[in-house]
Amino acid sequence: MDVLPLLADGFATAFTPTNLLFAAIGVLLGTAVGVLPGLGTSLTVALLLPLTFALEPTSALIMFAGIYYGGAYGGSTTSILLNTPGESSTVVTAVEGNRMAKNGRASQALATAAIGSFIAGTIGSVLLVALATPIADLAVGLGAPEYFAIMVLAFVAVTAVLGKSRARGFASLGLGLMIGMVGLDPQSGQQRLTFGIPQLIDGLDIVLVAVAVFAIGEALWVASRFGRDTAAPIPVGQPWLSKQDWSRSWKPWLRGTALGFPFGAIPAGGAEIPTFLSYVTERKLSKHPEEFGQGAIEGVAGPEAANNSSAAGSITSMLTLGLPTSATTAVILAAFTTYGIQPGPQLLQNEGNLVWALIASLFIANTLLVIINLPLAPIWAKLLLIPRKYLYAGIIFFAVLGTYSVNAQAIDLFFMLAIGALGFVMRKYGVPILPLIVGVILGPRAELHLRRSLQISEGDVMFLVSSPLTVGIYVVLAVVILWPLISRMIARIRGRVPRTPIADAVIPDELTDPPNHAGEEQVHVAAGGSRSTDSEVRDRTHRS
Amino acid sequence: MSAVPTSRIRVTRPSEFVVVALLAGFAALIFWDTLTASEDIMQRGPVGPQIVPFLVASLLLLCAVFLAVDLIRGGQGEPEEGTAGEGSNWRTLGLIVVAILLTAGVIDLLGWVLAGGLMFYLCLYALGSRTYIRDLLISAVMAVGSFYLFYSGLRIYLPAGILEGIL
Repeated sequence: MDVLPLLADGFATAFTPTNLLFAAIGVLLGTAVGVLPGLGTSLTVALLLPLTFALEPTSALIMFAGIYYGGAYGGSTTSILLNTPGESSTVVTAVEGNRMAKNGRASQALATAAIGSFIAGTIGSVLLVALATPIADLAVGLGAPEYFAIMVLAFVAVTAVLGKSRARGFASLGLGLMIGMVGLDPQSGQQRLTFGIPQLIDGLDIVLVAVAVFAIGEALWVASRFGRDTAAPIPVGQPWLSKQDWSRSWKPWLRGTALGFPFGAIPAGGAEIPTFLSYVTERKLSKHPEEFGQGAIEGVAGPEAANNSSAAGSITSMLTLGLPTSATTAVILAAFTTYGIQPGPQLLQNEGNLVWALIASLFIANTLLVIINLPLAPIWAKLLLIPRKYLYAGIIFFAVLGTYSVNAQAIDLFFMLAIGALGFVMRKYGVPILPLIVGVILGPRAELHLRRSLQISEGDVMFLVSSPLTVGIYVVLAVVILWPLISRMIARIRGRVPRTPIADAVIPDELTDPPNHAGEEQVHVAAGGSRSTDSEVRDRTHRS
Repeated sequence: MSAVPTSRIRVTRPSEFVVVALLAGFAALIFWDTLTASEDIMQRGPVGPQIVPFLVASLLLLCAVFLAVDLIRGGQGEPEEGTAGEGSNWRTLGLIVVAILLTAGVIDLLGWVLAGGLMFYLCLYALGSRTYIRDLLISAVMAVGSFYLFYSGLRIYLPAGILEGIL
């Protein structure tokens, strides 16, 4: 299968005026929510899911992908100008970026972030093009046991590796599987967890669940701690880079890209770890290590590139394997299912046109983003002047509107509030959200493949591990699950204190820890975002 | 996951047992629902519709137990994205929940424009806005604007309610 003609067809589809318009809307919205602290891209896509009832799948998905890429761009603006990361993945950018801004180099920080994001996003999209067909070819021979194994892998990887507490991660997964089970069992016609409520027989719509968990849960969480508005951003002129800035930036861009993509593609990665790794790498390799902590441009260029290429990596595993590796791709996957499109390895075969148009749109989105971000950065910064009360009232407004529009029945709003309350409790007590939404999306299909497998084998459980691929996946799973035990054993053999590499790598979380004291330094409080003082972020980063 | 030095009982945040109770409660709910389901359903293949619910309920129960042990040993879930130091604002939270419940109650009667506008206004009030006239105008614009955007622009149905014929 030759890739280029397919990609050319994709561009032809993506370049129609309608799809271009939706790509533009997507990147504008994405940048806006990236800039605004407390509004994530997953929340935004969730709020827009109801539009899938009105729009063509291609247009809607192009818009969602634009939001995802745009969010990765916009987050850096807030980090740099306000020292309040708009997204958790730009926490590291705030360290050097805000320092640069305070030194009067905000323009350069914004420019290296935007150009680095463009390069990373473009290289990431090229990698996606290169990988899409080989992975899809591999997928042709897969049967029900293999699909089941891949989904179990997704469940466990998202749950066990990402968070700090496995009990909380698996609890979230279990809740998601439970929500996904509500309704008529498609194979037997049995009603499950419907409690005699007729509106539950069709199950809880994925749009309702996503809006409830991401938007209502987040809004309630923010409302429960609502306080003052945030600090004013540092004013900024037109972004530009001097020759010296270019020569100091291009290597970090490429290294950041190389780090971000694989981490985005694996279910345990996300954008936080590679941005942090990129920061550490640049500090080690820099010719100006003394500038780190004082506003080193490498410390902005690398992490920002890593952030964007991890978004591309995440989209790659979503499109080729149907694995959501980030909250946003999980919600985009939900959009696929509302169209009745089965995400997974067979996606490229069944929906080739759609997938190639989507891939082409990623290149378009990237180009649009660098165009709108470089000259317009000062205008984006003005968004930070919108009072937070209007933002959160607006989120609740559109969440209720979207949920109601699914079935036009008021009872859905009660379900939404109940699941939103669950999302609130989960946020309050540190139960991760991603496993839940993965459980809701993939749970029913995992069950289908499990039962289909056992139907084929007439109940022989060994059929589930009858091919090399399934055996391989379950071996990986066993290692992932038993990792704390294994690492402790290794450590005991070496006679050291047990420490898992994962726990070491997840230091960006530590960056977002609330400080124990609010001293004389200016403390920025984000809407649902992290809070940190300048020197503390720096100190913690140096310590590690 | 973190290694706890002693098995001494040391609960940091008692309210976190809410999560344990929720998990155990949901597990019990699934068991009850699955066990009381009628048996005369056509079953295809060796795995019926009860197996997966049992697995999920067991998973939830197991998590409840592990979480309870963790909490008793002084473990604590980290709230998402650092807690702002303002403390809890239960009044705002409560008002917003009431606003959503109210909307759910009146939307079929009043229609989206009135119910949604009222909700937006109440949410603004709950979030501390006291510019009553300006908020009223913004709420009206949001409600009417979103109605036409969805109804006329996107062809997604929203009820007009008692304003039927005016809108």
